[in-house]
Amino acid sequence: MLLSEMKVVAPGSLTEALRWLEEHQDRARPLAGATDAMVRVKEGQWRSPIWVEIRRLPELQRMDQADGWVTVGAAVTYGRLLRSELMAQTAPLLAAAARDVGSVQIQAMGTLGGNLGTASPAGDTIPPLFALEAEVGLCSRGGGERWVPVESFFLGPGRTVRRPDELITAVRFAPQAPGERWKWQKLGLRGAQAISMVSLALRLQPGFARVAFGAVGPTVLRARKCEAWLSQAEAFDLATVRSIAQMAWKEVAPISDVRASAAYRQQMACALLERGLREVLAV
Amino acid sequence: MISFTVNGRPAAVAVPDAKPLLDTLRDDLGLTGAKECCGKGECGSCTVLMDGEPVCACLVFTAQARGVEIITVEGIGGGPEQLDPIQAAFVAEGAAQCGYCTPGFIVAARALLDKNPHPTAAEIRRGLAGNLCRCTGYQKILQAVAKAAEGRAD
Repeated sequence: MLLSEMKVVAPGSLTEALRWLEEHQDRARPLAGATDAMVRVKEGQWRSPIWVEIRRLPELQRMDQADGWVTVGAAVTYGRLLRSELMAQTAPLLAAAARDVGSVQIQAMGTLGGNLGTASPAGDTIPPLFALEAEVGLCSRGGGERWVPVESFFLGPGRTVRRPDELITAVRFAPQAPGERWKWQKLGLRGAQAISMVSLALRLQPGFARVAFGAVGPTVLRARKCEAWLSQAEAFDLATVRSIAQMAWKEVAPISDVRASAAYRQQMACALLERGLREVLAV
Repeated sequence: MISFTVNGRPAAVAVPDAKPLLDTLRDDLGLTGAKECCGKGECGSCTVLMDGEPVCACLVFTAQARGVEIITVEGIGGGPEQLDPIQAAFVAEGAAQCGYCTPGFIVAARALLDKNPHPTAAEIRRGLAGNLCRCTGYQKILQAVAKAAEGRAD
């Protein structure tokens, strides 16, 4: 399909957007910030006959806290996330990751829902969402709304459980505890504009640990052995921290690609975890 | 037709919905200040303001610009006699060599100073991290933006 044959429709409401997706199924694709979509289109991929523009849908702009959930609309941009007072208080881990996406230009257009929909294993907001045990809200005209745990949402690179008639509408999670220790780390070739070679989202509370790695497997993954040891450790000295960090080596399953070799990624997963733990635990 | 505002004037173009906004600005509206370089959002040479936010025009579907306000480098300052302080500082500091990246830097710097009129050196670096210059270094560019922020006219 030629670029000139692709049509962009701009529904005025979520209901109207869902109708486009239901009626056209695989022939229609949601269009959020376009920062991934345009690149794929220029590469000759994602030549969808119909693009359903959702960036400005009012139903997808929310950022609020109620009944124990923090909810972020799918069309909220990285820029809004990283400047949000609510995010600074309830999910500083996610705000820190948003700050590391691309550049101010990408942050102005790219959205949280788009990062989930693209489903890159290197998507920077995804490890924080794994560490927060977030749920992804999917909406369809026929089936209404369903919430999927973020760990079940991804099937592989570029593949998710979203059906063609469904739209990602929001993400929700319980807020980070006020005193918890957390760390976001991204290893790339430079501070801005680099796709992650390895990334880490870390949360620690007494008896509680969440460790999620990006770019070291077909999807973002949680290092559950590291989490178990961290949540059971009675005291953290340097030797304990190092031995737990070394376990990450066996928990990740990276590939070699243009950005880094698998062996380097495995070593760097351990290094990022050790560095992160030493910083938040001051050992 | 896709209608939006460019540099304060209404524009209406009959182009494919998915045509990159950068190409529409350059080919259909004659605004050749924004430049194509990487074409995939990594270099910032096509930066324009969309509703006040800096975006890579090479990554925007023209249909996404429906109803928005676009400012290109041509809409910053009032021409050679009335340069924007950032443009004047780029001239004063000699912050260009080949000049290809300059329009993108000027627009990104304008966006930065509009939001944060007195940025720290680190904030300037972060605000311009999405813009690449392959001629020289970045020192004169950073100096020019710092100078514009201070409002010095020398």
